[in-house]
Amino acid sequence: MTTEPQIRDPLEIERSEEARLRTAAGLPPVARSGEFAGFESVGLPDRPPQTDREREVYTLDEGEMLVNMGPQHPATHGVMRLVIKVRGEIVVDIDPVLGYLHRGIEKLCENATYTTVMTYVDPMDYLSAMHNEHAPAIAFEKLYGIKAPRRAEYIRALVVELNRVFSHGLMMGFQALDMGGLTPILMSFINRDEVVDLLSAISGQRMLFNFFRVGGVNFDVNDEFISRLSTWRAGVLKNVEMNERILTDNEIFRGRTIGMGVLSGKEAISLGVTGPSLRASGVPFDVRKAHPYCIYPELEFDVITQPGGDVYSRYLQRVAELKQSIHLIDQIVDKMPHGPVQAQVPGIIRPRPGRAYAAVESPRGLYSVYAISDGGPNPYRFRMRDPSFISLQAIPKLMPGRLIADTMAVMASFDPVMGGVDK
Amino acid sequence: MSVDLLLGVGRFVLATTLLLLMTVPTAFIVIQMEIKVIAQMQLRYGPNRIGPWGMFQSTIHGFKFLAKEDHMPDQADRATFTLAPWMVYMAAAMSMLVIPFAPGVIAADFNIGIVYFFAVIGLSVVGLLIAGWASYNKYSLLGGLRSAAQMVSYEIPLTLSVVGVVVLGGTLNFRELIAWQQAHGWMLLWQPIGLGIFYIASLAEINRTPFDMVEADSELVAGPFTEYSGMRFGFFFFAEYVALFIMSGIMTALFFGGWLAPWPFPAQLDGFAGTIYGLFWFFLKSYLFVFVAVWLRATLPRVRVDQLMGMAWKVLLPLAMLNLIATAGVVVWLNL
Amino acid sequence: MTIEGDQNVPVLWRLRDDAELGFWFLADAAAVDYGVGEHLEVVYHLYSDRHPSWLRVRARVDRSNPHLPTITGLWEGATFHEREMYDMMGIVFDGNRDLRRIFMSPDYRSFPQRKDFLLPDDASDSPAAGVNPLERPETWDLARLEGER
Repeated sequence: MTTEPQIRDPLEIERSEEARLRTAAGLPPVARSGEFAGFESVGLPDRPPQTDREREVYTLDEGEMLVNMGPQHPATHGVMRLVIKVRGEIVVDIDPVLGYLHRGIEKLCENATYTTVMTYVDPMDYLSAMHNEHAPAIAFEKLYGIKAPRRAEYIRALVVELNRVFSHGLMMGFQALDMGGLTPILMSFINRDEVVDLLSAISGQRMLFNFFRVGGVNFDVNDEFISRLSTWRAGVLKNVEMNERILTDNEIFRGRTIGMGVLSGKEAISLGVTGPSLRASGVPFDVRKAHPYCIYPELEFDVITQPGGDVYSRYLQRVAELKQSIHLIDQIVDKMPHGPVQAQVPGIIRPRPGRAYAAVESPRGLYSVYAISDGGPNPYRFRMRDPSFISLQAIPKLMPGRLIADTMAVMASFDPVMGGVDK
Repeated sequence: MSVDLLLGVGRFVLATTLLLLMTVPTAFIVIQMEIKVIAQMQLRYGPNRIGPWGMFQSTIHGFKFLAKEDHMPDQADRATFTLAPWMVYMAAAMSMLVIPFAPGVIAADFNIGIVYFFAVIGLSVVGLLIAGWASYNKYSLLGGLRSAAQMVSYEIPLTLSVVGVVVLGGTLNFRELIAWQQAHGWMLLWQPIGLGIFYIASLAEINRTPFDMVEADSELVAGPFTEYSGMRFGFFFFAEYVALFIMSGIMTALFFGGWLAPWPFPAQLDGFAGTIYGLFWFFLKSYLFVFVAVWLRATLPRVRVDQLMGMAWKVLLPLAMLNLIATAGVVVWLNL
Repeated sequence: MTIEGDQNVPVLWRLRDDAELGFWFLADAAAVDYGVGEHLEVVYHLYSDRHPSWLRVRARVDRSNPHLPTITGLWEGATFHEREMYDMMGIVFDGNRDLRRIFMSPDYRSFPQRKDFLLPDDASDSPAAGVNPLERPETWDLARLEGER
């Protein structure tokens, strides 16, 4: 395709608001270009670098080369571009380029009613859709001033832990797939399929559940479901162990993951990494224990940590949390009370003006919602903090000095989901 | 022109034609095995629509390659770009000349058969290098260089492990080696370490998992084969699977007695029935090793490039040399 | 807790390093636009082991001069937060080494989450406008259609 591009400076920023802001800030509107080779070799139109960091990444020294791990990955995680500066096989620097899946969900939710927001947030972190809905549900309940009934809270915890089970299971599969093992991913998908069958029995959907409501959940859980759940429960540990047997003691797997991508606890906190990746670096921060929500104060569980901080520890951490979630599911099913599953709320909710913040522990980390209401039927500001987004910042810190093949291994260990990263 | 010469030439032409014709169905069978076996190991069916039990899936793959558009990058070097797949395929086909299928069924019964085999296998390295270079694509180039490095490094332990076999057997001729194994027992009993080294090195030589960095996510594209499509890529693709069969066949011949049957059965029969008998056992054993290779592919993740090279030079090579020295010592001591 | 914009760094520093307060974890950094004539706001949420709930620090920013010191010196993970706030709201963080757009393309020219954001007409605004002849009405051959009628 050889169309002639319009010769317009893509950064016509002299006249734009952006330029005014930058000049007012003392930042150069167009940065000086040094011996700067970068953008053309990764397929972008040539332009001067805009920031210090950009100049740092895109300036090539002797023997360095920019390689594009392009938006279409052969494997996982979604559409993300990693511009990797390599010297031979060794990675010198990485620049993640995001935004390929940006759908403007935050802005869309400002035009949606509080109930419709549940459908909008599902496809953010689509592998943990229940968590995506849990946080807004709690935030909106805080705004509206009600609490969900106890049975609803128990059902919420149940589906959330089920979601965590299959999300961590999938991470095991993706970790292996990114390193070339073809089989564990299929075991993970068998696991996921079984759980998704259960979740679709409750909510009617297989992936984007639209299950939570402000004030409770949408559907109730009946005895037949509980018996299906126990049948599933009987078989799930065997499936997980099948995967574990292929991976955990495998020499090749261990050789590629132990000592790789080591993130210390302090670094992890500073970078904002949360969830299993943070706990695998030894920091016992779990939102379910730190600021308990839902019915977690009533459930017995410990915060698991691993001492390492490398890829193998993150893998072990997720396997351990998977088993912990199964244990939690047992407790929830034992303790589930009877009662209504949805509080009495009107069709279109108009909470009083105010602000609310709610955070949940998603399989990727701390997922939080900051909602501002102005009294009308739509949220005034709906902000989501996605854990994969922030965890991605760890990748450029961990990779320099490693080989390209390790990039995929390290990325898979943080288990990012691009839907959440790009909102 | 003597009749003998004509007959010899005619026999040779017939043999090579048969072999070339045999490579493609062999590739089809091996690919089909891979698809179905990996599928069963992953608790799924695999293709089961084309033909009974999906038997003709890989045939259809072959026709698909023929049907695809064959394009070439503008700035690629036409001659070498076209030559590369031929070289790789010819390496595989030529090395089939010396494989001992059954008593009397060897295309070329060289007295230096083993040397010839390893010489010809090395041609595929050149083919891959040319493929990477001629594509005018830096990722292909890097992938080609890396694969060449891998294959060259593993050729050394490969050949060294076979030298032990040769020292014991006293001959470089495949047929005589099998006769030796009939007399003294299969070579795997004499050279277990050599067998291990040979198997690992052969997997690395043909770029099979766990050593398939070349084609998997080498720079996240297909390495030296990135710019190839249609039948050109088909050549590379089939050559890989034919090479898998060939390596398994050579391993059977060198270590597992070739066409000989295992203990409770009579080792060899005579005449035409003997040929069929030998063919049966040879193919059974070869495909067993193909199955093991496919099994490894289904199970193991990939070894990283530097770990791979490290293993070749720091582990396999010293082991092979020690094995050779020990074998030579035993031969001298026992006056074999 | 509401503070003036330019004091965010000292306040957050104190909150983080003080032994009693000990807000060692930055959970979220968000930006809010209060309307066309109103100010902008950057909201930080912090976590501490010693306090039973999250702490919300709201830093007020003027719309006409939306600058704020960066907190990447305190938490490196704030880089992406601040890039997103710049990209979506147009708040410039002084001192951030990597203040470029993160979701939108680098040549995008307005700030989507502002309340006065108007969706640009892509066909005329982007550098690819008019490349495809079908998008340029002057290239349409209407005479050809006339004959067919």
